[in-house]
Amino acid sequence: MLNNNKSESIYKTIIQKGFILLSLMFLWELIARSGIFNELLFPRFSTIALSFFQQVQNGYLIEITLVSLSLIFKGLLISLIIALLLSFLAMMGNFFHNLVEVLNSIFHPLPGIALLPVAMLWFGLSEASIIFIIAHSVIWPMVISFLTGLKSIPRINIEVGQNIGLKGPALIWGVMLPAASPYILSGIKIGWARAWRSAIAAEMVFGAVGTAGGLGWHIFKTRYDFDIVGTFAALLTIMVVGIVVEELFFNSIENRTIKRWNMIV
Amino acid sequence: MLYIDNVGKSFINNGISVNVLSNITFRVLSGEFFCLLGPSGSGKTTLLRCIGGYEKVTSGTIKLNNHTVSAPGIDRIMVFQGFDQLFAWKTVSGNIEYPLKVNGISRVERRERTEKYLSLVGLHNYANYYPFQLSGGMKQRTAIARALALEPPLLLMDEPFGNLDAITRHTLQRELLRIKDETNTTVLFVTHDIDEAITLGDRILIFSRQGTVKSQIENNLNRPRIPSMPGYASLWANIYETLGEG
Repeated sequence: MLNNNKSESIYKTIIQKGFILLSLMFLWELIARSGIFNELLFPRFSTIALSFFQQVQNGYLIEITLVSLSLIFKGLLISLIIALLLSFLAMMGNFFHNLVEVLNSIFHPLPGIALLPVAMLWFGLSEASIIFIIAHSVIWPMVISFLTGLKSIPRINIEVGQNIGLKGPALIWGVMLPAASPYILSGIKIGWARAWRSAIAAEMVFGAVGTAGGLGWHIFKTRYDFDIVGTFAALLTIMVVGIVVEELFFNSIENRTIKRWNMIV
Repeated sequence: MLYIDNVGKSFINNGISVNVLSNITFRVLSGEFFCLLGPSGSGKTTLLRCIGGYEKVTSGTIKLNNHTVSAPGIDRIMVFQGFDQLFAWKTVSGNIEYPLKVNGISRVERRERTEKYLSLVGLHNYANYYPFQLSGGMKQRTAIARALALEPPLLLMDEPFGNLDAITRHTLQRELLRIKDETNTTVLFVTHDIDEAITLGDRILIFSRQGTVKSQIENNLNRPRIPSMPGYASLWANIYETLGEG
């Protein structure tokens, strides 16, 4: 009974969200066709969608999206490791906690894109510069989320872990990470959103890395060539990837973990 | 088996040292059901936490089978009062099996022991439930099964039934006695409930509010112990008198 209701409400949500999306597309199309704006600057949604599908079909959009995604993935992975290390370091005592807090208050307000000139000096015109910018914008909010999670672990969980013989890394892996999993997941989600934004921004300023440019570079280039439909098709790509990752990837992880365990905070 | 020798414990609070326990001496024999009874704030939980290895004693020694206790270990498994002692991310059987896995017990034996202790606490139909789907009583049964599955020489229980309703509490007391008979484990049980101490304990150590031992009482009543049986009322009165104003 309960399960049935649950799946029914998920079904309803999907239909409602789909309806909202379709309405927005329709509205866009109507405004474009009304002739209020110059169609060169405000192309019809149908034109954008057509260009999007053509460029997906010939593989070009997929190719440049993969370039951006691979940068984001590398940046996220590095950030995840560093943020976890910093969070656990902060748990090791008052001094380290203060240290991580000071680092956070110095670097968190610093926009990643402001660091691009420094990154270019340090790492040159390479992938490493963009990854550096991504990692910078991801690590600090991630640390805040992870640290909140680690602090919220019930002491009794740790004590049971120690009682059954867990120590050090085994205790971290076996008890602390799962116990903090709601905050770790939300940290990764925030990190993903931050990484996406900073990657596009960095690519736009930085340009192509080697021969291949990502979505950000493509947006910049299409604007330069006055290919406004192409610009919008690229923006649409960013939205589609965002929805797919959020609704499919993160939702399915949450359904299998924290929602299944009723550990939602 | 367990030697508590002249144990004292004090905390520093705002620069002032506060004695929580002083001159605690007793021994628990193998196979015994030993109760620590006292009012809230008498330090019995602190003592249990020292025996569990979670806190250090200020003076005196705690020895289990001739080894001085200094850190938590699988020779003393603790069952806590809180319902959140189970791992929320593991099922009932996962909670029981995981400690066995951590301690290098083979897959086959893990399965066997999990089955055995699940049945022992009457939860074999709930093996795949997650903790949030269980009632308070079922959570405590799972915690007991998890502790027993490691087959520790000593089971430490810190008011494990304190958060349960009276009916569930009585059921679990009876079941704990049955399980203790079947497994022949040694139990050190903290409670502030006189009836619980009488129902369960072979011996009862009575604490004062100042964290000292007031008296140690032998409980030779036949089991099952019910309030209407001869001797129960006088034992109850005796303990009540001893506790006094605390």
